[in-house]
Amino acid sequence: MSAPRLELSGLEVHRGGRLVLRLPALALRPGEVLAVVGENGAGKSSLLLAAAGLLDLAAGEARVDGGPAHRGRAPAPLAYRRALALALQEPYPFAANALELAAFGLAARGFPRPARLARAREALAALGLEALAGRAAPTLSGGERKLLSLAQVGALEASLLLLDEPSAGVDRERLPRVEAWVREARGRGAGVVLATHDHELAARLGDRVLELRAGRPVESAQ
Amino acid sequence: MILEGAGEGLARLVTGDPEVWSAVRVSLGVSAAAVLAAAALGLPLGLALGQARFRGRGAARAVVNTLMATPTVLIGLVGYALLSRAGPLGGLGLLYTPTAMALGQAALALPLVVGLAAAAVERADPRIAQTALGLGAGRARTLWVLAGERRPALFAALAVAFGRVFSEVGISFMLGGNIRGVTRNIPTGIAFETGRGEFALGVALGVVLLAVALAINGLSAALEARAGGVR
Amino acid sequence: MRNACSAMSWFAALAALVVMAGAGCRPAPGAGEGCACAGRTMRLATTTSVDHTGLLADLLPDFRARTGIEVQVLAVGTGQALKLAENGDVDAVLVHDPEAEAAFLAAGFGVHPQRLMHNDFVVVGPAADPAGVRGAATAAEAFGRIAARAAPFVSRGDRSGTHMAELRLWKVAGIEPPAAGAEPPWYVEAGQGQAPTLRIADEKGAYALTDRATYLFLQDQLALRVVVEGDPGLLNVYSFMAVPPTRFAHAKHGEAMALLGHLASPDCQRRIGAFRVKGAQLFHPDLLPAAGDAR
Repeated sequence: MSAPRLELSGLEVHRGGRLVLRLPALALRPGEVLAVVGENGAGKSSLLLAAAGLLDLAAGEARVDGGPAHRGRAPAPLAYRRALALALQEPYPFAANALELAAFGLAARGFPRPARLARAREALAALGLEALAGRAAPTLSGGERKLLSLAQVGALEASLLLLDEPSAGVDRERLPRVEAWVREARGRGAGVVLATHDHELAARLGDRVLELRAGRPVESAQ
Repeated sequence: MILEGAGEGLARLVTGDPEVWSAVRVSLGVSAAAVLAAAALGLPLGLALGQARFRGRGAARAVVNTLMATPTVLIGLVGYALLSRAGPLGGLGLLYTPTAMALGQAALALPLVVGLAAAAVERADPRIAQTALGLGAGRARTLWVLAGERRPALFAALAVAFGRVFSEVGISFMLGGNIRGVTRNIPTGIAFETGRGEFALGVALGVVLLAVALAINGLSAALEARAGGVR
Repeated sequence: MRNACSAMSWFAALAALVVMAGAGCRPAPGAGEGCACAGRTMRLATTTSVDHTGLLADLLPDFRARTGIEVQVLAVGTGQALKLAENGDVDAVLVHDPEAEAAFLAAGFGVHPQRLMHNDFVVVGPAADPAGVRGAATAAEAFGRIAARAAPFVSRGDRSGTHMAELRLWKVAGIEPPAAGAEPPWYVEAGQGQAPTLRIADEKGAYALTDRATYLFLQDQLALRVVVEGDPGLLNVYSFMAVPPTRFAHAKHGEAMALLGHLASPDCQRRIGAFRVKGAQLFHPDLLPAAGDAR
């Protein structure tokens, strides 16, 4: 039995002087999708950012693939962060073209240029973005930028995917593509944590659903 | 006197007056070298300081901000004490050379560059670093990405630093000696002519300095616009 | 790289800076002294009163042509010039403060003292001459009259040769110039060079001590007039001193001696006497056999 993709224990996160998240325990198995739901401000994004190793942990620790722990000050060590990939709720419009952006994570890991551009192209195609490869991110629509951020994650084939509102702003026609994409990641054994306010999406995609209220877990269904 | 001086200054610049152009050359060379050195050291330092999170960070920022207010004469005095033949680095024979002026000006520019670069990063959209870090980038690469996205602010920091050193007198005088043709730059030239009583000529050189500064900043703005491109 | 544009614009900015930095190092064609990149050079510290008149700019090109030695001139106050020589940052000095020079030599900081030329100080003041200074036999007497009337007086206040000469005159007159801030503030210390000091005196309608050269230079722009001149007490003597090679191995002693030889030569001495600014003779050579006074 391999290590959990994500393991959170005794987690306490403060932001702006307020306690925004208290999570006693969470373990995500390989090939499992956890959907996190809750109202705005419930702590969904904080959970994802903390799991990504980008928030200070006032208490507790996080582990990915049983590797080095993230404790205390952010950012978490490189080895921790290299095992995961994060897509933000509202992607930042970097002044670079879609192909370069999709290849960013690979460049960070030292992949040579031809290899990483090839994989980036595949990642874009998986979400139907191949036509936008040469376009600069600020010229894309909000939905296209969201898909691009997913492609950035997809190119890495990480063992843990952290997705903040993956369907937000995406055209209705493209939504099935996104869902298929998530299932495909699950299929290859990755762990997926996705935050969404869309309860139906959560029910469709999630093997488990975690509801947060004021930063604390509520007894969940499934 | 001011209008007469302004006209005289521009006339001398255009007709290639050798004394004026020698001063311009020294000014540009020394200040450019100083900003280059300050940027090479200060940009990475400032970016790292802006992004870093450690216990003494607030104190470090306060120190940098304070150093921004260092009087040029003080830097000149310290530089003289170090570079004089009677001082520890006297053997290098750097005193009263353009190199010494550039070193002094670099010391003046460094806190400015560090402080402004740190501020540029601190004010950056947190999503920039979050995206980079969340996709597995190391610290250095994240700083590079931040620098890329904050380019306008960083260019502005260099422009401020250049303006500061381009017009300073204290360091140029103490470490350069205002030697005609060698270390006389525009600001020391102005001080010289004013000291002689040639006020109009002083104004003329002042106008020259502003004209050159305008050209530099115009060039910088053009570069900026090209780089800023798609936003 | 995530953003090729980013890298390129940094390179462009850096390249521009490097080009500018390189430009500063090329010798300036036709500017007379140029960038001392090769050849023999030496450093001479002198006072602003000499440098501002342009005398050295007149004398040095000839020296360079004959010997190939380039003299880098640093114009600072007498006090600072002697300090630089003491620290070994220059190879020779040309100053005009006999007391300071004597102390300097006694301490072993200088060798080969040689008086080269002189000019004189004059007392200037408002044309109306409220203190009745005109007609005083000596400058010290003039100072006495100024103090008696508490007429406004502007001093250099910067420990320059001129300032030291002024203080000597007060001493001879037996007067202690009031400290800064005393009431009424008739004695003011400008703390600046001669030209700005004269302008201040002009504005205030005050008296001042100045070297004749600077006054002549600014005469058209000032309402001040010469009220006392010709007193031997107003003599201003310029001397050359070299930095001892025994004190500093790096001191360019040979070059300094060559410069001294040049400045003391009859040719150069004649040239000093012939130097004119606005038609007036500024310096009088001291080493010519029959030192004529062509004032």
